[in-house]
Amino acid sequence: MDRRAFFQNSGLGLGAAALGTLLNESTGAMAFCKGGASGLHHAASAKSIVYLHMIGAPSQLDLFDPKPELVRRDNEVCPPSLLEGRRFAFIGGELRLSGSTQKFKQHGQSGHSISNLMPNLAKVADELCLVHSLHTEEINHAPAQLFLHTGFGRGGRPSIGSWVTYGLGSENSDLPAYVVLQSGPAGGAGASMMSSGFLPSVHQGVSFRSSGDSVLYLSNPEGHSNGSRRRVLDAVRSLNEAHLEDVGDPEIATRINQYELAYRMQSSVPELMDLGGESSDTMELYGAKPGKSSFANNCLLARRLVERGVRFVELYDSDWDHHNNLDDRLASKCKDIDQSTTALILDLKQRGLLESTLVVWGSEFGRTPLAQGVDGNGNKTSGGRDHHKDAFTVWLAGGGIRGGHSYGRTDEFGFGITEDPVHVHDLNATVLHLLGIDHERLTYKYQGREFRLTDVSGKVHKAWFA
Amino acid sequence: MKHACCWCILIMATNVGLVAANDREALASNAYRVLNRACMECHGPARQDGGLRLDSQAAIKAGGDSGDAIDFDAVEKSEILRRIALPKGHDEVMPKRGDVLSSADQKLLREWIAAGAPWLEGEKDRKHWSYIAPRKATRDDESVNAIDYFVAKRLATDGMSLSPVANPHVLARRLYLDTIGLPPTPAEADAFAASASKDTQGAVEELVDRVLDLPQYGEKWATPWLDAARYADSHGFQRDDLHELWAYRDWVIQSLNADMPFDQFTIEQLAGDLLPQPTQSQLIATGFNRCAPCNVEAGTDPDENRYNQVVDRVNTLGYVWLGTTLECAQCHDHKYDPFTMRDYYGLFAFFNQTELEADRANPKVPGSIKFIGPYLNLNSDEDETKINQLNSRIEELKNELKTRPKSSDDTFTTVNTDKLPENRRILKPLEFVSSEGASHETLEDSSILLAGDPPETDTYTVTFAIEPTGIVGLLLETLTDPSLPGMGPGRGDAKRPNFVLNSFEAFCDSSDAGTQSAEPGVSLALTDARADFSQKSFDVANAIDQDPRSAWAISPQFGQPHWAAFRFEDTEQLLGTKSLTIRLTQNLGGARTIGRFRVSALYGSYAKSLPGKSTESPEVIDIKKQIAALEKQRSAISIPKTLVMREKSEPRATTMFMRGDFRAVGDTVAPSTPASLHPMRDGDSPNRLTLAKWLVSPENPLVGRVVVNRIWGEVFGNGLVSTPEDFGLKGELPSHPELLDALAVGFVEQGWSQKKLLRAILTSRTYRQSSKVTRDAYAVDPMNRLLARGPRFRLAAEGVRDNALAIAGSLYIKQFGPPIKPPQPDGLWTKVGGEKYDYSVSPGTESLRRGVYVVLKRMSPYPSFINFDATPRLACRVKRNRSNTPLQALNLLNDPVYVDAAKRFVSRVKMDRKGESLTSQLEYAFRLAVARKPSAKELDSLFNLFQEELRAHDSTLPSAAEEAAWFAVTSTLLNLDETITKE
Repeated sequence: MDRRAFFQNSGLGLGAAALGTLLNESTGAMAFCKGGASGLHHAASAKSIVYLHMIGAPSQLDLFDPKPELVRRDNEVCPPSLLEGRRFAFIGGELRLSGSTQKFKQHGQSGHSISNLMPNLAKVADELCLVHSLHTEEINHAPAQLFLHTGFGRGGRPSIGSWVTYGLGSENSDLPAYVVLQSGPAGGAGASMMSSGFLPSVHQGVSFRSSGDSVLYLSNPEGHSNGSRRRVLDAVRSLNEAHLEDVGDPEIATRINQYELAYRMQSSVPELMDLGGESSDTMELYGAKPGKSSFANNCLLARRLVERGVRFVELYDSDWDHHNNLDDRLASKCKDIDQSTTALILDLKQRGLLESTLVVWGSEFGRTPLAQGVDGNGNKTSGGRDHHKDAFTVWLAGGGIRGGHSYGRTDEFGFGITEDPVHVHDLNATVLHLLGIDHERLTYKYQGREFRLTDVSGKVHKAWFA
Repeated sequence: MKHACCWCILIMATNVGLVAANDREALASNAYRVLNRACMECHGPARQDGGLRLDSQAAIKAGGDSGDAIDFDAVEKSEILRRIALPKGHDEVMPKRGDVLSSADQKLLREWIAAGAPWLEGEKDRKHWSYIAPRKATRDDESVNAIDYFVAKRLATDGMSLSPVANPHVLARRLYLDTIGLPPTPAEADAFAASASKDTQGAVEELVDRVLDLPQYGEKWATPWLDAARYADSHGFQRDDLHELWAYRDWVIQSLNADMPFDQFTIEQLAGDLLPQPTQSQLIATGFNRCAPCNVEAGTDPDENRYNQVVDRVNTLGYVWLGTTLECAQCHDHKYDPFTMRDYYGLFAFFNQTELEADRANPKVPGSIKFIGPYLNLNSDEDETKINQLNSRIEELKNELKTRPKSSDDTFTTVNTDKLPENRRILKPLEFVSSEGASHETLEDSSILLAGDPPETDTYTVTFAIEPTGIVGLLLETLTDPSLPGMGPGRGDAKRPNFVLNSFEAFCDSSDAGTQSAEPGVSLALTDARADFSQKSFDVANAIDQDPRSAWAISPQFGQPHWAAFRFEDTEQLLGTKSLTIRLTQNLGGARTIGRFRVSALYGSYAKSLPGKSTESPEVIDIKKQIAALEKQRSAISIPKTLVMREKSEPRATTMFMRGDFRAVGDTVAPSTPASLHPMRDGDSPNRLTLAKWLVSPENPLVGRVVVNRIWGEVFGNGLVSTPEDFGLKGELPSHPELLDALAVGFVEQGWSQKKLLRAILTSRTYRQSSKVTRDAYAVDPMNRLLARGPRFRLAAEGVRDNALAIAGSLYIKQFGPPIKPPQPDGLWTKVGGEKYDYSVSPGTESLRRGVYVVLKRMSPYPSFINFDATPRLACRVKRNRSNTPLQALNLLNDPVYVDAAKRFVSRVKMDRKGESLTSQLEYAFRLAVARKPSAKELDSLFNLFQEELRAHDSTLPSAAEEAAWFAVTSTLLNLDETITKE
């Protein structure tokens, strides 16, 4: 029974006008929860999104953006002209160029250059749209993570996931619309990356955890059976209904609904998190292991969430901040994600879900073409790269994306962008567009201003579209 | 029956007309306001999208590219009316961006067009209402208070009237919740009901006067102010270390309890430090602006952080005192309100005179950024005296030490290399690598000092040039440094700056084959480890055994240098080599790594080359022991402290920052207040104190309205202006402008007393109304803007918890002090950068104190509060959302805090109503939860639940079954909508 019918049968019998208000001026921009397929402002090419965020910033120069000239001039002192106007977080003094030690090959019909660190992903090269020309405003992790997610480098604004669910609502009445899965420790911006900011808190990202309760406070108190809890819920409901009849506040009707949803979540979430029903082939494809906390498991969970109509699934994977020991650490991180990321794309595809699911892989910024091998005092450290905000790579796949396309170019060293720059606001505008949202029209009035995810800019890059 | 289909919640917007537009002039004026606010950004003087301009009558009549905007013959066919009536998201809807016009505004424009679109010349130049000083409007009937008079007057224009008075028990509960944030006991509610039956007005006044004096008042009312002040117990951002600021939170509670006049309340918080001879309390008050988040993430630019903090202070001032969205003017002149970018940086200049709050310990090392902002020590006088005594005694002993001859061999602690014995040569590092990329600096004495966020574990690899002839061993000195926590030598934390050195290895370079090896050279065997001191079970010999887990450590001898020495087993291996590499492996975790160290080569006789045992006389040793004991006593006295504002001694010039970019320096700007508002007093020096006085000047048209509006909003759920942060053009108009002004003027006249204002509200007939809503009334005014009924809305996050604990009888009402930690799920306080903290639940009843004392770590806030719409306080917030979500349901049902409350609630009922009938006990429990008596039906529901639960447990012991049945009842009561709602 939907809410409209509920109100009509709730004994309250609100007039049509009030009902209209309840439905249209609810907290979502969407009139009500059903929808999404057709988009909010225009036809959507994706219904759901899986956003893979590599916390700490992987090196684009060792994965997706080969620079032969940089390799050729490895360890040369960097000409000052290349550094003009650039900001770095840590490095200074005499800076040296640092070529990648990875082997790049062209893959698929698209001929995407992908390094040997991502052998599996290379096999699905033709599904990916590589954007080499992303740039951002912030050079430190927490502000840059906030900027990517909320379009603002300090706290207090809603995450892209919150904006999307605010705009589109949910397709599943038993699960939250914005779910976050995490492997490794939290990012520097912590819970504020998934915060609903000034949007109603129903739009906050809900973290599904791999230890303890998968959703906070999901399990019944120890020693209390489902039967007992159901009796309590029934009593709460009948008392709430009686009170609704007495005082008439529709907020009580909402409360009754939310208690029912909470009860359904107590079975829908454990069912979702239980990988027992997955075939051994699937488990192998992802490299997932039951009961383990891993990026591989999270990729498989992401597919299960998308299957169930969850709108926005975000995966955080940490430890990509390679200021030193880059070669070893990057190789080890790529091992963590290469197979499972590829599996996610293949699995979505074989289930016919890829065309309606947008997959985005990226991070808060990229890494410098310069070695972080000489610190501010001229002391040598082991080879790594510093934060780089001026040019880095993100890729997209599925949901309306032109697979095999390559967009934007960087200069011969990878310092700056020479063709088709994409600001973070542009990326967000384009992602919203694919979901059927016009980023300029998805607004929320707060503190006297119509806020939006893309602040006062943002350009949709239609060249990425299939 | 299946309910609900989505995660949406409902917040209702008004569809009543707030302005009773009776005459043409008012109609013209109101229509202009709507057009100006909604349309003129794109159809005004600056641009004319579609060729349409709406800022003069002639222009409107001229229409746009696609024809007439208004059709005077067929009003309903007017293009404007068609466009504004389209649904949000439609391609042709106007305004194109933002919300659609409210039905009231649509109605207004329809009436305006029907009336021939009257136009008031000069309307354009008229000041926006909020910039005109409030005046008290005259009232026909002075015997009625202003609130009831203006509310009734407004209702009458729509043919409506006030609701009946609420049930006295419900009213008692409302009054308690609005004053002290805690529910009345059934006895208190009964007492009120009894006296209200004779004289409601008198009963309310008596109750209000009594409870406003309770110390719990300040705790309830501190929360909204602390939201505005963005008070938290940590810095925010990646390095989210805890800081001490709770004395400021306590100051707010105490000042509210003392009903400190709002003008003084303002001045002390913004500029207490600039008052003549400020008291400690006035200094603590300046913590208001130290609440601004501070980014101490390694690699952060200290200037950028400082700029952001000043911006935060200016924006906060705008919201809190001016009801103005000043932040718009950070990058350009305000688009709607009369504030220029120059005005913005004029205000910025007032706050631009304080010290950096985060800076690099070493300017060359970006990773060395540290929190350094000024703290005020808060010793009690007694502690102060004790510390002074200890200090002077320690000083005496140290002076006495100086008179003694120096021991011949303690040079290893000094940086003075002249005094080194012949057989020891300090090695100068050529290269240093930290496996975790920790920042470091090589000091003049050739020691290496680590900086920045210490990694959990670390392995150092250092290479030196050596002279191999005659070398016998190596000396490792682990040294102290003021930049290390607790002086070091470890990096972990100030309490236990230990290090745990798992292995010490040496290698000589190997120019021949074998370079493919992962090792940095040929390994050199070491033996005969010695140290000045080894911790029990952590002998120095462990550093050169083959066990990677055993180690050398130095607890409890922290804060002093130590040394270890190692002899080469076979010095011939070294012949011909020029460089030597050593590797220090420290993998215990918890940053038990060495913070500063130096390596020397030992020559000749190994034993003789060592720094040796102390050659100090017993007398010197005794003095040192005394000093150590006194220092220990001193550190045992905990010194509470709090963040305060402190002005720089040298003034800092302020400039504009173009596009709000801290690197894009523009013109120089002097401290100044916005030109469109009242002037600053001549002759006052342009500092924060002057600014604070300017804000609370009676000439300020905004401050009184803004403050009374917020307090009104806390009571009624919405301010008279429903956008409490924005009284500008884009904000909402007041629902009751005359009432807002009467309250604002009265507030200042009554000495800026918040308690008097609150008393006036709570003792009004308007407040006392029942909050029941009929279908018709709801349809007309879902948001209750016209106030034809009493307030009904969910308690704030802290209130939900306080209320449950109070009902359960377990609330511990102890006040003040450092933050508390209630139980929360494991694994939430994970560390990214900065200090690692264990979340250990506060012991015993401490965990049951009020929500205002719960620790707020910005990047991992207490989840139960976030579920109920509290914010992480990363920025000023003058109004919280009020959502209704399934996570709230799970929280109340299953959080151990509420499960525990339900259990204690059972005990309370059984104790207070011992031996009474089940019905009487159930009724008592119901009344504890919601104050009123249950209806027969409600009592039946509880009774049935109890019996069903008993039956379900009939196989268990009767006492256990009864316990379970009672638990079901109290859980149910704590989960009722009514229980978490003020109604």
